[in-house]
Amino acid sequence: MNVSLQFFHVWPFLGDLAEGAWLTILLTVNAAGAGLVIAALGAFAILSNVTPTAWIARSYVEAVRNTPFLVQLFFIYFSLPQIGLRLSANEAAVITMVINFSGYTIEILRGGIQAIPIPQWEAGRSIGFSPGQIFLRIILPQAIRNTYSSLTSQFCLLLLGSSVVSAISANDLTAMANYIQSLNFRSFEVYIVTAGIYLVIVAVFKVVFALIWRLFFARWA
Amino acid sequence: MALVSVRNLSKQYGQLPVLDGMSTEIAAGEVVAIVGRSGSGKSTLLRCVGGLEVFQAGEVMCGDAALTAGQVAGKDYFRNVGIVFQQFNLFPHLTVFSNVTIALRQVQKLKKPVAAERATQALRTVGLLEKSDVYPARLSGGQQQRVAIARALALKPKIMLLDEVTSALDPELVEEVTNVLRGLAEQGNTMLIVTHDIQFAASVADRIVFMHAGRIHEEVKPTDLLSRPQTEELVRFLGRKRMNPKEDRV
Amino acid sequence: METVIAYLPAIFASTGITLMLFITAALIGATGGLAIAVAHTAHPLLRIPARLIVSVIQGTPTLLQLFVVHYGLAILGLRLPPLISAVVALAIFASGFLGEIWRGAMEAVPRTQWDASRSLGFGRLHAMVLLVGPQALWIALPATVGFLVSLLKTTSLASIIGIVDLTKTGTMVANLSFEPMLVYGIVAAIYFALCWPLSLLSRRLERLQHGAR
Repeated sequence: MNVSLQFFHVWPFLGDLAEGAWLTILLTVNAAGAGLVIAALGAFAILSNVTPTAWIARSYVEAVRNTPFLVQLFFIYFSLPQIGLRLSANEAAVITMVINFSGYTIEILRGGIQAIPIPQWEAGRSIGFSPGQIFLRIILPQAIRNTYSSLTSQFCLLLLGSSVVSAISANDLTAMANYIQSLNFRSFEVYIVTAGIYLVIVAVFKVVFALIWRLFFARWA
Repeated sequence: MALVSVRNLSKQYGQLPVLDGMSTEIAAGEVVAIVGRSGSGKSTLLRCVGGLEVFQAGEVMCGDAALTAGQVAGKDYFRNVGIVFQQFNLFPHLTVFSNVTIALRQVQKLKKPVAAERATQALRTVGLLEKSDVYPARLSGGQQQRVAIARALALKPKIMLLDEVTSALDPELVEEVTNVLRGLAEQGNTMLIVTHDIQFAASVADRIVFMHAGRIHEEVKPTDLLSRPQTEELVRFLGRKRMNPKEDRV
Repeated sequence: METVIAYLPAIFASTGITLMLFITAALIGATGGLAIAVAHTAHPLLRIPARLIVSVIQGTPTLLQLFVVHYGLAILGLRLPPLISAVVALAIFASGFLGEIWRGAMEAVPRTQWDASRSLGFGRLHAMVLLVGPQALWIALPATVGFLVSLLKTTSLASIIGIVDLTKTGTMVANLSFEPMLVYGIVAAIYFALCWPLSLLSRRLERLQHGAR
């Protein structure tokens, strides 16, 4: 076996990889943002005493957590056209990522909310807040702080997991790597460099999350 | 005309009766202290008047709002009351100032400068204006409780309800809070105070209500508290207090 | 509809491939994970490579790891059959995560347990196998079972390099029958039927431990 690594074959494509990386970041940030909103609603649904909505939210969580992301992706991308909903690969990717991310974060937020003492709800009521206001302005910010590290690691998992969307040819970083290696036939080098880019992106996000923590959350306690 | 009137109020937790068909009234400007042993129903009475509990029988009228059996208190009811809790219950993610203004802005929909003016006034009353930008975790227990008082006060409730507000405090921090409450009483605020501290109750209240077994057992003027208790139970309660003033704390 | 029904046996048969991938990767991954966890506690010099391996495995997409093993190594002259590539990649993935779970569990065993074992005259290895290890195993059990759900779901990535597992069979039947919604629904339901019991078990174990404390 004659092993010679030829990374110089990758350098001409760094611009394309950067483009793919940017798309991966966009997909992830958008999906995480929307997913967090849905997760907040879902956690509220589970904790409210309305049985049917709680049941629906719980089933959603179980369905998402116990089926592969790839199958969820295929289901969204290939079966929605059957009912007249034609999606681009990128749209299907974001939607699946939102569903996946919210499925996990509902559970995280639910735990974080339950850890907040009941008197916080009472204090909110006593100053005239509606249940929605209490949830949004008092409980949710504290729940996000309590679960911050779980939420941010879930974000990183989403970012890495998003490489699977290349399977439906969304234009993400992994799809770009696939494309490049089909041009230069240096799959090993291309994939190694790509993996390195993922490592760097995750590391950068970890720094950003630490900064956000220091700016917004650290002061409370 | 009474500001608060409680009629035939009954409340039980499961099978356990806590309030047993009790009635009382509080006039505007009056300061009423409720004393009694743990489990006598005094905190539950305050929570019922405060709209935090759903009760099984009777009714509670407070200002222009009323609660009947089985009813869950809404926003309109809470406009009438300001509640201060044993454990402060400040919002940890908001500064002192925001803790006081959040309901003014979000519930009462006051304009920003108006809300700020009211919050400033309330914080000045409790002597913590200079802590406006601090987060609650940085404050001592006594300071946190004073902020909680300011938060309730800023809403200009018809009555302030104070539930064992000094019980969670270290002994040396009690006084700064009771001083604030004395000031509020002197300014003519209507208050319902649940407390273990007989001395404090006697010094601030117009009327002392002794609760026993879910009912009002005896009502006395503060001046008569020690000289002329009428019932055996109150005598025993006071006796125990005098011998062992700290036993009932927490 | 008839097409889908006709291919149902094929879908079920391919579930066997998925399970085979899962079990093989779990067993090899468990060995690797154990090595990583032990390396962590054994010697400071071994800790650095162990940590490096874990952070690379956890910091890069599993799909890319699979591509490196399958396509990357082929370019370098090591052409692996898809099935081997898939097992290797999944086992690497499992070692990283199990190693991290088990390392955490070993550190969660109070230090005093080591001291107590030492005081009774046990050597390091002996104490690990007989005294500390079992406690760590118990602590790690809920997370381990939880990770098995992840691993089972991740086997679906093997379909991308052409292994005819449950997901791949689903794709083929969906294309043949023009009923992707029904077919992917069935495929998802089968994955769910395999994963859900493990999820429930993991949650029950977690509750058991927190209740016991």
